[in-house]
Amino acid sequence: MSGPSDSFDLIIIGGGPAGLAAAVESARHGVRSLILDNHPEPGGSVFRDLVAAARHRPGDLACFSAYAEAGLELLAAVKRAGTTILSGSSVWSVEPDGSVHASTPAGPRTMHASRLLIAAGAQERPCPIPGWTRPGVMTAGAAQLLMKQSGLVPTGRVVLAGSGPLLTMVAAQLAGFGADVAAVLDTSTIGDALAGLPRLPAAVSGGPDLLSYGLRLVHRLRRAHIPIHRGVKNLRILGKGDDGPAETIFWDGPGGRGSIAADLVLLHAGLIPDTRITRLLGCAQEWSAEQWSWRPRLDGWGNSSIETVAVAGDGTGIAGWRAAIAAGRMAALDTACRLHRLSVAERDRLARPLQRTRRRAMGLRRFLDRIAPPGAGFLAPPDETILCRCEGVTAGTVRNLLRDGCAGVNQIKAFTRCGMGSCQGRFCSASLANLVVAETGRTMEDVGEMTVRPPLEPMSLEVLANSEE
Amino acid sequence: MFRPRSETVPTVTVIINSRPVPVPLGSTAAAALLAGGSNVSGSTGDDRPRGPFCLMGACFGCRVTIDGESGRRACMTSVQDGMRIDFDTLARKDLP
Repeated sequence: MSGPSDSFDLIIIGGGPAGLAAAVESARHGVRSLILDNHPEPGGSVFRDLVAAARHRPGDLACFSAYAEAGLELLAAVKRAGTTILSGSSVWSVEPDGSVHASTPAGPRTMHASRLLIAAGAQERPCPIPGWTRPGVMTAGAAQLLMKQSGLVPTGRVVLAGSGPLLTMVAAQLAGFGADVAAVLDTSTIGDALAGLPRLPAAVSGGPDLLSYGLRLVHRLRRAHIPIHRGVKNLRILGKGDDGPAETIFWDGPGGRGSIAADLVLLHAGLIPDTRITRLLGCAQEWSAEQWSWRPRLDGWGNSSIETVAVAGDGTGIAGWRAAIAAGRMAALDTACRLHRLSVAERDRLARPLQRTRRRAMGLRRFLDRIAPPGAGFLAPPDETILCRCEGVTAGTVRNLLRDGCAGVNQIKAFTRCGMGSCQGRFCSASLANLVVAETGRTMEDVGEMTVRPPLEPMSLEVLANSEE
Repeated sequence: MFRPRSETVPTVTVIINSRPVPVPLGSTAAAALLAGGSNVSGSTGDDRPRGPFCLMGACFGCRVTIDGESGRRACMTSVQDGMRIDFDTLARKDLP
């Protein structure tokens, strides 16, 4: 049922840095917005739980110093702006006419807006290696969320494996929290680090504070005598029986074979934009070889190929929270302009410093993407590796189908149920496409992605029935 | 598994498979599982054990029964004092 109270100028999907910043900027120009967020608290993966941490465990905040202040400030600003945030609300379908269907804690609801801002953020890239489905294997981001949300530290030996800035950051934060970090296994090589040098100047001027924060983290790991093995490949996790808890991680490296006992293995290979909503809407997408991920094709304000839909934040390509805040504000400025609450000249004037922020953030990001190529080491896993965690489909099964002439990702999905489990492809879609590209030599643009269909989130039939009008 | 960094943080008590477990205030049910010593919380289409994996709502590895409602993602649910968290029977069968 939809009434005037369900009508807005702008509906923002996602309450992370981009979405929150867009709401604050919208309110400044009299644009009536609403935020839908599927977590219990707003803030997105980077800022969520900072308020709780500040209240219950202020001592812990120091470990997240690089962004705690900015996050708390943004959360306070959105509170002052008075924007309604529907937390715990799953958006299960979105339509190009501005209709949004969600199951909210108060029941199913259909809302409508002149414009939509999709600020769905990113997720960690799936890291398919043998044994990654065993209990005791998690993502590095998961361990970081446990520190932030609850101040929890792993009790046993922890090994982190993969690549990217978050891997190093979480290793150092865990060590700072008193965890027994036994090793960091980095799939990126010395060659990658050297290849990044030409991009260093732009990174230094783009984010000197974040860069020096990163260097301090590496230094902290060294001081704690935590071994960092670089250039590792063929990672595999063995444990109790076929499916039991993880016990040991093996790798091949420049110095030969290695192995180490681990009670907890944390994997990470960078982030990938969550493009499900924009794909469902039919927004044109483009492949970024640099970030090894799909993203919606946008203009400088974040407008997609669909008139009513803008996109901002890491869901448009990974650039970090600073760029996300700037992009969210720019999308809001353009919305205000389109709704005649702001002149073009005023929009452009207000956007100038934001554009600068985004350019600087990209300077840093392009350096990071080069020294730790996203996804390296996880693109063509051995046959026994489970690709689809939900349905247990292995890389070998997919290879067999490809040899038998199976055409593409949607056909493989139909034959194997890969991507049809409860996560709906969130932890296999990218890996499946990588494998098809690796096996067939086709381009990623040619291979494409699994089709996204509603409902985006699993929902009860009761909700579905009640939402039909 | 996991332990609180500091013993002095305020906690609430949740009931995991009939066992009371104290967890820090502000935690999710997934954090409660891990603090309570379970890294297996369910199984998936292939009947293999799965545990909390991504903790951001994407992997569906942490689906449990919360206060009688099955299939809830533990990582998307904030703990309340007295909350009951149960693994469904299929998952229990798979516990090592």
